[in-house]
Amino acid sequence: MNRLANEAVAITKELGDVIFIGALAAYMYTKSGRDSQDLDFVTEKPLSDDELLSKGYKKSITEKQPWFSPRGIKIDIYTSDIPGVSFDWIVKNSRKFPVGKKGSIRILGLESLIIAKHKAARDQDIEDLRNIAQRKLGEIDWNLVRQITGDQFVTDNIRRDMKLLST
Amino acid sequence: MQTITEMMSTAESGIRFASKLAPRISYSVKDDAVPIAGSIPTAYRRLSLLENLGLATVHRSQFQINRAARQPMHILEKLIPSLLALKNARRFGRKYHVSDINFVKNNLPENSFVTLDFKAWELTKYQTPQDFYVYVDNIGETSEFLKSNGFSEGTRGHIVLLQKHSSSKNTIEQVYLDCIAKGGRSILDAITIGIKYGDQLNVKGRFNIDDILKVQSDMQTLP
Repeated sequence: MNRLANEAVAITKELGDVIFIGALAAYMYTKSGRDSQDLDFVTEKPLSDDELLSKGYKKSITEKQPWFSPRGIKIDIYTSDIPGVSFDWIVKNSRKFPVGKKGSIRILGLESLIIAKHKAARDQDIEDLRNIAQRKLGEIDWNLVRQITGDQFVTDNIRRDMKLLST
Repeated sequence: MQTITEMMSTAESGIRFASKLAPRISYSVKDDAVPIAGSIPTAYRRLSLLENLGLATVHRSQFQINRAARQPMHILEKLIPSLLALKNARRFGRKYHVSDINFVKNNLPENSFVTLDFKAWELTKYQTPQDFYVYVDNIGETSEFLKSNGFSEGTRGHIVLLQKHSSSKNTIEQVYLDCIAKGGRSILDAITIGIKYGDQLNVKGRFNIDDILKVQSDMQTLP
């Protein structure tokens, strides 16, 4: 996963303070997990095609998310809410992680990450949630989860599932 | 010893029970299982059948269902050896570092073969590997060998020993079935193997269309 973390540092330098979500975010919290082929991130301000092209990003003509970084890594760019988490909370609940000696990247907050992965609940999301539950269960701020979901029932479900996944 | 057909027959009521549960991360015995099974004792009997095949894990009054249980019966039948091997897998670690994997790679028992993460990576280059899963003839002997070389058994190690079964063969299909049986991120490996080596597979698993589209999209290279 170091390869993608280093790529995330390079993207941050090129595009500004973007917020990484998905598998990289899960890895940064757990230092465990398998490296996939793409990076997903949220930008606070929309990036135009011209801006991306001028920075060496390449566009595919066949895809809905048609971008590759200058180093050939596929990227998915989000500019609004992600499942279960509003855009405001994505930004508000994000945090910085150091990478290597000089770099840093901004990552989706632990609570937002759990909510988004719980909402998606694909096989890979459940594996990521299990990793998080086994390593970070005690660090989850459940009051914050409640604030982000805005729903006590959903929060209770997430909490119950995370407890079970931690066993 | 039961044959796979007998195991499937024994577990049939459990599998039918699992197929009636809406897909979720976890379930409550009282709230989710009893309405389907009819009573608490029947619910636990159904879950026990699934647990025996590695298709459910029960913890107090909560349980999880391995999504492999949602595969069609003819696929599930093929998955049984993989499910049992994974259920009885033993995990080892020494320094909890890549050096553990290198040690085992350099000391692989005769007739052993590697599956899941590392084999999937070798076949697809899709997801980097994390744990070293290896089928061995005698899991007891290999675990003693590891222990005598400073390894400890536990839940966090990166070495996972699987007992070879009569039908295990060192084939792409074996890896494919192991990936489906394990679930989690290995499902993406199975889909990738299906896309790249479909002509070498006699069975085809059933996957979520969004996962297939994700893999197809991720496999795209630069224009």
